[in-house]
Amino acid sequence: MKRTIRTILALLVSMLVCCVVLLDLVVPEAPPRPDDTILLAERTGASNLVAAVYLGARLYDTLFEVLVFTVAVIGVRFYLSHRPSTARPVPIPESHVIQASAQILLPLILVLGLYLTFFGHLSPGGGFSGGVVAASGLLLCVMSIGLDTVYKRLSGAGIERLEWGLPMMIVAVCVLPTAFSRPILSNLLPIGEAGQVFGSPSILLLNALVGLKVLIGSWMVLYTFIRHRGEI
Amino acid sequence: MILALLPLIHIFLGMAAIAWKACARATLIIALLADIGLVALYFSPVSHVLSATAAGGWTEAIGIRLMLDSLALDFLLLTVLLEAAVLIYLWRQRLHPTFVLLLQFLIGAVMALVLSQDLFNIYVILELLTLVSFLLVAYDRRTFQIWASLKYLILASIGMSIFLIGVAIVYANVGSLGFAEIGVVVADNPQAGWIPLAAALLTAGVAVKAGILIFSLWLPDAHSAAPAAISAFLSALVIKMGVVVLIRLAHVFPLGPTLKILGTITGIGGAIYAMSSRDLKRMLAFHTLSQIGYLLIGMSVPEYGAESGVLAYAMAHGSFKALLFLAAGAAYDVVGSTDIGHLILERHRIPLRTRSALLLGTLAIVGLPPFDGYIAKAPLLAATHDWTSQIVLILLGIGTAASFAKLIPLFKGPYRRVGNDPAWESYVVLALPIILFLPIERALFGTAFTLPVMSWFLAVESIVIVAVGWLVYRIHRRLRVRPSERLFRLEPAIFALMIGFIAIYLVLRFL
Amino acid sequence: MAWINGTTIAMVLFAIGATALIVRRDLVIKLLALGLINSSGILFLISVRFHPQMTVPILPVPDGVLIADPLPQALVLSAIVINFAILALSLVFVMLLVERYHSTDCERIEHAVETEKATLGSQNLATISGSDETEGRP
Repeated sequence: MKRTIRTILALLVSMLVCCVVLLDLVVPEAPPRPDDTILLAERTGASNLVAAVYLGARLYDTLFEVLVFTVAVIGVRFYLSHRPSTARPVPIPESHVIQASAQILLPLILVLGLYLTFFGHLSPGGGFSGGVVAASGLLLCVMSIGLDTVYKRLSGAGIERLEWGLPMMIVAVCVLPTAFSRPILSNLLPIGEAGQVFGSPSILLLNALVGLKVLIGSWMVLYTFIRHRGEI
Repeated sequence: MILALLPLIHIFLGMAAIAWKACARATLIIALLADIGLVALYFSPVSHVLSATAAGGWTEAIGIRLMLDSLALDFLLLTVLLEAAVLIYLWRQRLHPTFVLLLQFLIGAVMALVLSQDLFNIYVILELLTLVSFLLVAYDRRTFQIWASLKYLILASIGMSIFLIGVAIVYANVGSLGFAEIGVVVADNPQAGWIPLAAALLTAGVAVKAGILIFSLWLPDAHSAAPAAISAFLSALVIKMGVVVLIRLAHVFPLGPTLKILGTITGIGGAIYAMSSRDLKRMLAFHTLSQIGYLLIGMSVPEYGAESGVLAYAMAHGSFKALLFLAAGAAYDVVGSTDIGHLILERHRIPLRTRSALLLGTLAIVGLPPFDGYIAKAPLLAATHDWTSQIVLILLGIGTAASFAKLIPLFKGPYRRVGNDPAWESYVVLALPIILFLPIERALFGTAFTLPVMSWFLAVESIVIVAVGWLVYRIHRRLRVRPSERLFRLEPAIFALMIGFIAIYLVLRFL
Repeated sequence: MAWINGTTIAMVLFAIGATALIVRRDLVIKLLALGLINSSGILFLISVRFHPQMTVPILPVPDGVLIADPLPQALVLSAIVINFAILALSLVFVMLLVERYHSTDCERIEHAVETEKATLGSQNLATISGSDETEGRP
């Protein structure tokens, strides 16, 4: 009985919140300002305006967002890695279908991730989506080869040091324009012709750094969740 | 340009602490020195390098602007003070690199937040603050801490989603996210239909982090569960960040009556719970709620001098609350419990310096005349001409005195030189602003402080408030009334958040 | 029908998420509901100034065609990453609690935490990890 009352009350309150926002929502129909568009394209040299915004005009926000991601990775590793790892090994799928199709799919996925990252300033994509796609490729790799093999090969390549080094590199790329007497958080490298691959090299560089960071961070989160998954 | 550098230094040093694990302490010292140097630039002849900038040189509406106004300066000084005190407090303990990294991110995020003039930038930094403090509260991985931080994260996340919806409505109607442009558009047409809704969403979202009673029901658990240095940071600094955002919102939106109502509820509710709490850290956390109510009522007063009073009180509260939390942590290390009854029984084992730090903090917090609690409260009491606000402020003072009166037995009795408190220098660092508040505030805010503070009437009023508070405590002890703490569970807290948002919306719409 | 657009659906999702968050007792479902609430905020942000004739904000754009506003889309990128971080970290904590109390019921966990606190004193609770590696505990 108390449970029913609580359910009804919760439903009423949520619907009330919903109605309050909707009934009072009056939004003017104003198209975006065309001079902003020209400004973004000129100053950053990117033809993807969204990339021009989040890696050009609002780079300060993106910096903090990368920090949020870093803090998440650190939190997951710190709080889960103190527990003993699960005794049950991660099962490699016995089905050969998965292993065979992984061998075909994996290069495609990684190339897709690279494409999204490096061409993020010309077409939809960017560092975040490219990094996540490549990390899901790594997960497919885990499902076909096995967690420990992938972990050993990646750690042997010094992936941990790269993880701590990448945010420092991103902060350095933000601060270095002072060496060329430009304000902080603006373009580091000079702009080329808009619409070309190297038309905005600083956005390309930032996309690459962010993509690598997201890839390594997502891999670490996935690895920690699988390795230390615990029992109920 | 240098304004954007302040948080970036902390971020860089935080990552350096974990990349080269051996020099984690060195990064703390470097960060502190860099902060002191950069903030001292404000008082030097080259202070123009600290003027308002736009990040990346994007001065148009689409960019992010940073500005160092008196609000930002006040909190930067408080941050530097707390950084120094906590660094000394933690100096002799083993510091894990992850802890140093999280601490550096916390300080960097706080500095970035007070400098920022952009609504979405504030959203991202508030989320970063939520995550970092959530990780720090549960640092010891005890069950109580983990549950308290989980509650904090869930509530803060809902609050920030509501904030995001508010940001969307503001952007749709203004076309920009900077406070300057929003202020211009709101002033143009103050009766526009979108203003109450957007203001209600933004206020409700930020209220979760600002410590307002109906929204922040996570606060007592989280602040009392955290390790001592982190409790000091959270109560003294991070909770004020929500208040900073509310102050900035109050400059553009007409939030006056809302803040007064919220402040009254928070102040009185916090005082009632603080009076009936038997655990020292929990009582300090409830009392933080009460003081946030004090700040909110101060913000709703439109007279001149009220805002500098609010800023001064924020800084004063930061100093003595941090002192109390650090001393409580040291006492817990010796006695093994934070229950007030236990502490009073074992008070002969607590080092003398810890007890005197607790005494100093208590005297300052109840507002006795020579210390900074009085010096910061007096201008606010003097500037308030509205009698309802005056009555509420006096009631809050009485409530504060009543809640801290139960610590009196802790200071009586045997004074033996027992052991030594290893962190007493941090108490000295925090005691400096408590005792020397007047010169500091005069340097910062000019002579707005001299006249009200020197008035005999206000001094006598403060002493009378403390005496009445003590009487109320004696009466309360006879009555043995305990308000229910079932309100602080997870589901009632979420429910209260929703109802609070609807209440704020109704107040803004129809008042 | 013009009133089924992004903003309406976003608020309906918010209402569903909020109800589920209050009513359902399972902690994992609470986290799913929290994710739903976060996603509804994101949907609201991008659909506030959108109408169906707008096209992708990528140059070059043919004449006479409106492009969608790139700023909310950039904001949403940040918001998505933040939601991912919140979900990951809260899942970690739920995992720790569930392992300790062998139940995902929010009320049972809350009751157990409060009883432990009352009987042992708030600072003496057991650490969740196996070894007591609490370095740097102030």
